[in-house]
Amino acid sequence: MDQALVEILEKIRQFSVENGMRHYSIPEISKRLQIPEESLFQLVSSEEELVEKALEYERDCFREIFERHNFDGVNSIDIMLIVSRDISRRFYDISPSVTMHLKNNYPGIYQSHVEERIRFIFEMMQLNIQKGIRQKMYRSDVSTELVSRLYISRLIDLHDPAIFPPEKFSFETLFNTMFDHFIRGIATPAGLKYYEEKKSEFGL
Amino acid sequence: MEVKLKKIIDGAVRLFKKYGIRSVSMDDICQELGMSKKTLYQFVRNKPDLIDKVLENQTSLIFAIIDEILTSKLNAIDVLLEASKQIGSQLKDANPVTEFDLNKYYPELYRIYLEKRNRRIFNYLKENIGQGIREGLYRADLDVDLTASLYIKKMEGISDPDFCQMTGHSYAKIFQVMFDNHIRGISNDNGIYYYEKQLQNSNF
Repeated sequence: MDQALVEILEKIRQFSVENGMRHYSIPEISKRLQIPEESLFQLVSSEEELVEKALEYERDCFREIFERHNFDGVNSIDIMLIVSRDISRRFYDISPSVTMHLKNNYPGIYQSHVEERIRFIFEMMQLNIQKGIRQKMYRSDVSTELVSRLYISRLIDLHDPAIFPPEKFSFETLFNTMFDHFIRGIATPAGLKYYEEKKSEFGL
Repeated sequence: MEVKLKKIIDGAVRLFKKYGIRSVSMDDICQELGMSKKTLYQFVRNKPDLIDKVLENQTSLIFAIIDEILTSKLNAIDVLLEASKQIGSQLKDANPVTEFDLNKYYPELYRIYLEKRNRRIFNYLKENIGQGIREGLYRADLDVDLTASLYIKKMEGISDPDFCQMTGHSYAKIFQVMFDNHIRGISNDNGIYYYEKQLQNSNF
């Protein structure tokens, strides 16, 4: 992705997190971030393309977490802890209202974004669970496919403000609790012991 | 409940489970029951009223099962095991199309049904978590409200017909995995030891 566009997307993200953003139209973005409209139009042709790029950037950041670390030979529980710590750091500040706004106002773009993200997480989860079973960290009777899907479904659920009002539960608390229950749900006794030893290192 | 109304509800449930809700007409129900439309309308005003009564009845059945289990003075894990065994057997012949139709064609009825059901399950869960902590089977550091909310959301997730279709597994199987994951997620070492012992004895 073009570096100039990345910088603008990062600014939009920051602004949305700090102040909320109801409209992602080019004039609105231009006004709020004090970037000339012409500069924006050099990078994207429409509001829809801007939203599409913003969500693509979110996915890239997510993928980058997995690419940044070399996970060859690393314990599967460590991988989960490292990835979830990084996810929590990067995404803890996203308010459910931003998610709901994107979902309601750009349903087609948002749906494709969710589907692509789900595909990626599903693939990563399956690899992690298979690895954990080989390393005897996870139970061998765990259904890799079903458990991966359940994990994803829970990850999506965390963005439901009706069940998890943001004023009651922060994203970090929600994510950490869900993650903790999930690992305990699939770990062997050896895996559980390892997890208990490691989790404080990761601030869980 | 009046015998005839019970017969109508049972007949409707049979047809809804088999064909979904949308494709079953009031005529189909009359035919299934060998009953005239005039008689049927003495007990229900229209199809939405029938659906409302069916949902009310299904909810009452499940809560009656749970209330009955709670009178047996079992420990927290046995309560969950017994409840899941009985609810799981109710789910065996559940048809995802029913939930899909409810959500799509009777959203208000469905919303009220879910709200009522979830409120009550939330309270049962809170009681169960508190009991498990007191009995030294669940971890004492659990956030009771958050754990109960996460479970409710998991329940909603498995009711989602898209999710069922995506995994290719039955409701009953998904419920079993979700339930196993929940108990392991909240139990301490004693609880997991007890749970696994009970699993071996009960063919869960």
